[in-house]
This record gives sequence, structure tokens and C-alpha cells, in this order.
Amino acid sequence: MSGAPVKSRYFDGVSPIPNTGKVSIEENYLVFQPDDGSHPHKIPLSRVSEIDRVGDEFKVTVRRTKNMVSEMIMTNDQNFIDHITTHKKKSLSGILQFGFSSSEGGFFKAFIPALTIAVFVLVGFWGFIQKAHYLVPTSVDEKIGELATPQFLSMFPRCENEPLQNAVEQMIDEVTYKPTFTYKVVLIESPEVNAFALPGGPIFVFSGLLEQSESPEEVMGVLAHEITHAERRHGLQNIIKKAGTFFIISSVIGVGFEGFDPGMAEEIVEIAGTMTALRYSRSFERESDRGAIELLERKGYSAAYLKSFFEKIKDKDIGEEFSWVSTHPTTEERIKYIEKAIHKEDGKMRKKLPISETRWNKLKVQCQS
Amino acid sequence: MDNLSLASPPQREKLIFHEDTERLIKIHLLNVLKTVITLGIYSFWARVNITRFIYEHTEFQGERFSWHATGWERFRGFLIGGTIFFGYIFGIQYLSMWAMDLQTQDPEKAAELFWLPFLAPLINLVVIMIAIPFIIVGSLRYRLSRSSYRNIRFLFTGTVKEFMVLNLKGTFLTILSAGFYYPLFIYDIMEFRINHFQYGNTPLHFSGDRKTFYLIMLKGIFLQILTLGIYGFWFFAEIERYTWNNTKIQGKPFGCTLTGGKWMKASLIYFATLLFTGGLLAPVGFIYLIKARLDNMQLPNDISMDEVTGEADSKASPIADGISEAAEGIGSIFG
Repeated sequence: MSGAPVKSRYFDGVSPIPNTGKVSIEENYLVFQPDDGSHPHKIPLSRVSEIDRVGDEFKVTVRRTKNMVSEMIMTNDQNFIDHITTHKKKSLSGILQFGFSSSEGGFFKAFIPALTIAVFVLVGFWGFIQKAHYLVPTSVDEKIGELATPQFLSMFPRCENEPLQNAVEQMIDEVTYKPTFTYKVVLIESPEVNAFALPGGPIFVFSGLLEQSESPEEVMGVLAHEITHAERRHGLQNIIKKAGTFFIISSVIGVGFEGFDPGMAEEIVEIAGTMTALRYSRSFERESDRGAIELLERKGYSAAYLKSFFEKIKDKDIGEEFSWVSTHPTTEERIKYIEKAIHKEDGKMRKKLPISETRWNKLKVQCQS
Repeated sequence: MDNLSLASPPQREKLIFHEDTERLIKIHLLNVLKTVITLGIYSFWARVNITRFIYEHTEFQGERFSWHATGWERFRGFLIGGTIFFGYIFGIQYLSMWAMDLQTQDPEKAAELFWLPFLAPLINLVVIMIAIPFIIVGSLRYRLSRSSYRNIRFLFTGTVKEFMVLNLKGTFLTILSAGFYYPLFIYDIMEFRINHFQYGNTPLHFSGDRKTFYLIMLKGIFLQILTLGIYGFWFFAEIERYTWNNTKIQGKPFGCTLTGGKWMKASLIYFATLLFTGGLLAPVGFIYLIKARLDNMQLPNDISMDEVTGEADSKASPIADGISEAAEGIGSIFG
């Protein structure tokens, strides 16, 4: 392959002042002949790594040599550029073309197939993150719970009260059905009306919640809710879905703008990610309310007490303190939901409690500081 | 175009950013699709494509800038950096758990090793003190080594050790002075960055003064609080002007004419395109943002190019960027 010499400028990477001259293709070489008549410079075509359109010119970059200095030829001759591009594409096949980049190519030729594949990938990926937790062994949940427990323990003062601990554990035994995990109760000394479950078994129960309860069934309702969180693996699902959502959002918003963007794309990705995570969180709460009702009714306890617990919290207007619903549906919504989900015969249920109300009323205040 | 050594009185010339919104939209849309298709891997190539677009559309005295990084090297940097980051996180977590297990399983031995619970936090502190300078210096070295003008590479000559000393001193004095030293800490970092910036063999020089900068910072922080952050645009513009108006090459000053109003307008347009088009038409706003910064930059037009010689930093690597990307990714997922 050869071509007529074309006007060009050659930057050697050592001086910022270019040599002007003519460049041509001779066999497998680019040959630059300076205008000052000095010795021609031969560059193997195999070292051409990039061809870019820059303004009115084309920039041919020659791969850097050992000392990191690359060479550059600028020309505005389209035919010459076509020659090099054809030559490069012929000499490189398959994966090797990956290292060679040329900005010359049709947008729509690439856009339509890419859009089609991307839609399939997105739909498939979305479906995958909804079910991916089934592929993860339950030992991972246990490990996450094990790793997170010390951090939560360092955040809250513990209530060491064996009779109360035993009573709450007995309630857990009562409301579990074929449990995947072994549930361990951690009593926290705090007036906050709160309870949460870590993946794999640890359930943190705040003394404020126990004190506010009027009957053991109300506490059992809350515990059944927390057990459902763990059984349905909401903690793990949350991690997978959050990572997946973050990936999707950050792929669309501001991909490649980092470094020039004053943090705005990142903020929008964070906001969008948080909003999606909250939506997930609310759906997990609904699922756990439903699961709690199922567990209570299966074991012969009335789920109406879970509803009455929410009503009491709402009536006493202590929703502000009730932080375990902060990422949850509103208490009003939950009451309506539970009302609908409870079976008609539920109201008649009143199985013998694992602990008498009198004993519970004595025990529940034993963590008061 | 090449009469650059003329002995004319010192004067400055604007950078020109050639806007080509249509081309940037095309690059961005393909970036988005390819990033989705490759489940994120293409994002390293996407970043290179956008940066290259900006460099190749920025002109000074008839010549464009160039960006030489490749997606592959950035991806490789992420793989190595990510392995280092995750290796460290798992290692330190294992150490903490082992120390806790020992306390429950062998309290006597744990009492003998009373310092064990403090070991992981101590290692974390030391690693953070080393990692931050490593990432900042490493990232600057890598990015500058991949940038060029007239095929002469830029360089960052600062070392991790120098920045570590600066960082330790700044952190210590900021804590000791209840935050009052902070503006001077920022000044020192800025001075360090500019004074170690080279165009080939030609260094840049920062000639600001600490007192003026301190007053700018105080005014900026105070007015931002008073205006609920709105003054932030004017604060940013003032810092940009101060930085560039006090930077010289071959003794000749750079310049900057960016104003708070211009920066606010560009930022709001960019933010709106991000928010209302789900990022798809963000290039439209992005062009405004880049134009606001680059079109307001001035460089001395009488740089003696014949005194400039190309130098290359062959040890600059993308690993520091890789570590910071891995850490950012984890931070975004786990908060």
C-alpha cells in the first residue's frame, strides 16, 4: 500500500514546536519528510494507536515508546486518514482491534444495536437483582449479622436482665415457624420505642418498646414482624438491590463526567439511589407486616394486637420517637393494611400466652434506667 | 502559529473551548448504552472518551490539548486498586473479629493482650494518613502524565512523603486551632499542587499570599452560611480567580475572569439537565459548565516554547485512582 505525500505537521514529544513536512504511507510505514530537507522519519504503521478528528485536522497518535514519549502527526487529508484506518483494520483482527481506536464511525450504526442490547440487559439485570438473594447461601446472612452485631452493641447500652431476656426469647419461640435462623435477643436500655433485626438472627429490642406494650401479644406482633425481616432476608436483599440500583442510576447519570462536574451528578445519583432504597424499605415493611400476621395466625395468636399497638402509638402521638417506622409506610397506612389483611376469625383467637399479663407487666419495666 | 518566542510585552490570551454539543451527546449516549451492556466495565472507557472530548475541544494559540489515557489502563488500575482496597478492608475486619472472639473465648489471654482492641483502629489511622496522600499525589501524577499540549506532557513532581508531612501538619494545626488554621491548610495544599505542576521541563509557580487567601476563605465561609449556600458560586469563582491570577509560568501570569454569576448560571443549567432528563441530555448542560471554566481562563501568550522540552513520568500509574474509585463505589452502596 502506498499513497501520495500529504501536508502534515509532526510533533516528536520532545519539542513543542512541530516539524512541517509531508507524510506518506510506504509499505508498512508512515514516512514523514520534513520541509527542511532533513532525513525522513519512518514510523511502523503497527505503532499507530489512535486516529482522532481534532477541529479541522486529524490527529494520528503513535504509541509511546519506552520513555513514555508518544509521537503525533497532524494532517487534514481525509484520504490519507482513510488509508491508515483501512490498513489498521486489515492488519488487526478480532480482539486486537480493541487496542486501536478511531473516532471515525457511524453513530446510528452503533446506536440502534447498542440500544436494543442495553434494553435487554437492563430488563434482565433488573429481574436478576429482584431474585439474586436466592443464589446466596443463608450463611452469608449469618456472617453479616455476626459482623454487624459488635458495631450496634457499641452504639447502645445493653439491658442485662435474665428474666426479661428469657421472656422475650420465649415469645420468639412462640411466633417462629420452621425458622431458617437461630434468633438471639439483645435487650437495649433506651426509652426509644424501637426494635430491629439484623440479617441472620440477632434481634435488638429497646426497653421503651417493651414498656409501651399493654400485652405480651403486642410485643409478639412486633417480634413476628422483625423475624419476617430476617426470614425473607430483607437485609441481604437491601444490599443487593441498593448495589444494583446504584449501578443502573450511575450508568445513566453522569457516566464519564467525574473530574469536571462539581459533584452534582454524584449528588443526583445519591438522591435517586436513596429514594429507590426507601421505596424498597417501605415494600419490605409491608411484606413484614403481612408476614407477621401470617406467623401470628398460624400459631393461633391474634394479629389484632399488632394493629392495636400501632393505634396506641398513633393515639399517643409518639410517632416522632417511633424511629423504626421512619423509613416505613405511615402508621395510619399500616393500620389500614393490617385491618384488611387480618382474617375474619382472627378476632376470636386468644391462645394461652407463654407469659401471663400480670407477670409481663412486672417484667417489662425492669430495664428502666 | 509557531512564532511563539517573540519578545512582545507580557500579555494573556484566552483558552477557547469549541462547543460541539451534538458530538458530545452522541459520545454520552453510546457511553451510557455500552456501560449498561458491559455491566459497568465500559465506564472506564466512557470517562476516557469524555475527558478526551474536552481536551481535544480546548484550544490555545491554534493548538488543541490531548488526553492520552486509555480505558484499558484505567480498568486495570481499578482491578489492582480495588484488590488492594478490599484486601485491606477484609484484613482489618478479620483482625477486629479475632480480637473480639479472643475476649469471649479466652479472657485471660485477652487481658494479657490488652492493647489488641486498639490495634485495628491504630492501623486504620496510620493507613488513612498514608492512603490520602498516596491517592491525591498518585491521581495528580497519573492525570497530568496523560495530558499534553503540542504533544508535550504535563507532569506532577510532588511526592507522597511531602504531601504526608503537609497533611499531618495541616490536620494537627487545624484541630489544635479549633478549625481556624483550616484556610491556611487549604492554601498550603494549593501551593503544593501548583508548585509541583510542570509543562514538560517548565514548572508553574504560585505567588499568592496567605493573608489575602485567609480573608477570602473567611468571607466565603461566613457569606455561605448567611446565604444558605448560595454564595458558594461566588466563593468558587473567587477562589478560581485567586488561584489562576497568582500562577505563573516562566514568570508570566495566568489569568481568570470567572464570576459567581457566570458559574451559577452554568451550574444551574447543568443541574437542570441532569435532573429533568435523567442525565440523558446532561451533555447540553455539561458544555455550559466546561465553557464557563475554560473560556474564562487566560494563559500567557508569550511562553518561550523553544525553552520547553518534553519530559515524561514513566512511573505514573492509575492505581491511586483505582483505589479511590473502589472506595467511592463501596461508600455509595453502604452509605
